[in-house]
Amino acid sequence: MIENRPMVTVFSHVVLILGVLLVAFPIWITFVAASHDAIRVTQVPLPLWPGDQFFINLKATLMKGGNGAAGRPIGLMLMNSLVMAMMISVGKIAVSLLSAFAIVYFRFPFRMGFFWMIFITLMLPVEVRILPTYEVVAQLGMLDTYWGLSIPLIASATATFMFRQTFLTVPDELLEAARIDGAGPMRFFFDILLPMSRTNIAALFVILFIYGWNQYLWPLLITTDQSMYTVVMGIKEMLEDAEQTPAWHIIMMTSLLAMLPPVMVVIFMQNLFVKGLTDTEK
Amino acid sequence: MGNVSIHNIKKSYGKVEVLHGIDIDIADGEFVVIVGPSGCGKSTLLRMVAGLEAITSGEISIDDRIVNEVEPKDRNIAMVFQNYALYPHMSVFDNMAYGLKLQKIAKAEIRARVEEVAKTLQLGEFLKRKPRQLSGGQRQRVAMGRAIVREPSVFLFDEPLSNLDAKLRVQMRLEIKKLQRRLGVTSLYVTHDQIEAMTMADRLIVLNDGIAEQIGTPMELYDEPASQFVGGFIGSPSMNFIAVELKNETIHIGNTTIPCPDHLLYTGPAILGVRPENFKLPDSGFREMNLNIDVVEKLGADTLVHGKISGCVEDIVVKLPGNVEIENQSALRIAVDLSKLLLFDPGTGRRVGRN
Ligand SMILES: Nc1ncnc2c1ncn2[C@@H]1O[C@H](COP(=O)(O)OP(=O)(O)O)[C@@H](O)[C@H]1O
Ligand SMILES: [Mg+2]
Repeated sequence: MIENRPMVTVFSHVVLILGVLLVAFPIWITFVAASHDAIRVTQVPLPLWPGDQFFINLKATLMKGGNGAAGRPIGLMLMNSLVMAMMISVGKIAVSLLSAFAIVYFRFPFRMGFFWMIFITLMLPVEVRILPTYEVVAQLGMLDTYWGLSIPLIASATATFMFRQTFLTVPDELLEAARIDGAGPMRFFFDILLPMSRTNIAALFVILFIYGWNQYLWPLLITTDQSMYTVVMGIKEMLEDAEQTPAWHIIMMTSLLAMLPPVMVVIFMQNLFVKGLTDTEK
Repeated sequence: MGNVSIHNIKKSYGKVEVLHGIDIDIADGEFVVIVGPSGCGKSTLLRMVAGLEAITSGEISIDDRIVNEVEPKDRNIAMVFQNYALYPHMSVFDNMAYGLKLQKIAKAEIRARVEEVAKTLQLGEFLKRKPRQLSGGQRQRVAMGRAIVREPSVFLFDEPLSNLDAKLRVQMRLEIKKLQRRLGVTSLYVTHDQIEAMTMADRLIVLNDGIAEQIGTPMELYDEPASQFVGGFIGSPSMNFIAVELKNETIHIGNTTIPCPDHLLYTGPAILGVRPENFKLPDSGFREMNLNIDVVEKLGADTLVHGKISGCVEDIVVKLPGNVEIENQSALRIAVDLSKLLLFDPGTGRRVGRN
């Protein structure tokens, strides 16, 4: 759309800049707080400009963690979060790709039945089925394991649907050409469908990674072993440490670190991500 | 080698039968075109030969081997699709090499074969490109190349030129024909374009509603159409059909009467078929009638006169030389070449009165 009305241009810029400020300000405060020492952060007025303690805080956070009993190095928590987020996103993508492939390209008994069963799980996110799911995970002895953290979150109707839509846009002739060329179903899947869906896979990966990384309720429920804590839980733990005042500078540093991996995923996959959401060229 | 035999082939989708028993034997190296209006079952027939569509009943053999139950990849065929069906994420080279790779042919040989075919199709400089970086005509050639490198016994084409613009279509149909001549590979070619069909085919199958109306060489179909459908479908502008009555060795056309030529033997009402080019300005040996003119189209080489023969209701087209002078007149005396008249049954549309 090409518009040439200066007032509209100015107005939309003002709105956009306000929006950016609104989102960026808390992050700025987090950054500022993470760069002062423990005492300065608790004094009013709160500092608005960065201090000189950033790297000292960073080292303390990674090596020592918060105050008191909850004080544990953040490194391990970051690692746990990373493993969980990766397992959830890779697992979801793999399962959804295969189930979408089955639904679109194979004729088997109760195909539509399965389709609707997958569809119905849209109405059952983890929060809704949390008690029975906990029971199952506990029975399987997966409490305090990476499997327990990720498997219940892997089944995904949304991703299955997205890939189903993608596959439906692949012309039938492509499958037929591949059959004449001598490709069996799995060859067709790996040689043609997968590469053709790679932008969608990338877009989904970004979304799912962030979804996995931000999980809070489920990890809180099934981990009791502190070595399995994720970083999002870790922040909460630090806040609730009863004996001492919260170490705000460490908490803010942890928040910063917790934000970093999703941001990096978005930055590195930005190109593919945008293509995956907007691409129509097939 | 390379012969295809289609025997009493039928196809049903559920309860609906779309092909009602097709028979044809195609010799090695022959170029056979399946032509007919859209929806008549051309693609279905071709796809059954390819093995992409199950055969409801009948028998198809390729290279003297019944292939009803044989997988497409083992039928020794190659197919060119209407939308080309190139793999969008693969380079031109990989598109052509993919089938050979799956056949586990050595890398060096694949390279040699692909490069040679690319050279004959003038695709050499595009081998590294992706299909989306090519023009329509180039994509079409890649699709051809992918078929040729397989060195099949039969080429199957499903309207391969219909996505090209008119000029390119004319050029490509010539190229395909030349290429097929040189390679000598049996070809089955589907099109709804009768000019494409006429110019390319050694033999034509005219398909109408799942029935083969007629099988023959282009000139056989042109001169001796077996039905009103074939007569109207082949040739451009298409054949004129006029309801007439034959009695006492004369033909009553509207309020004109012309003698019935020797090659027609028939009495009663019939449909008379006359090609536009079999009309002329009055001359000896021809029979005259009156044409009420609606529109005159000057095409340069030809003049097309649209109108009605007086006393008739059918719109007809008359093709006259480009240099005839027709000045704002509302009627014209025209003559018809008696030796080229055809008769069809008004009910069934089949040819009648052949003496
Ligand atoms: N998969 C299908 N299921 C049901 N009917 C079909 C299917 N494919 C084709 N048909 C029907 O078969 C008839 C012939 O189709 P087709 O061979 O594609 O015609 P065309 O001569 O245009 O290539 C059409 O009436 C079409 O509707
Ligand atoms: Mg078709």
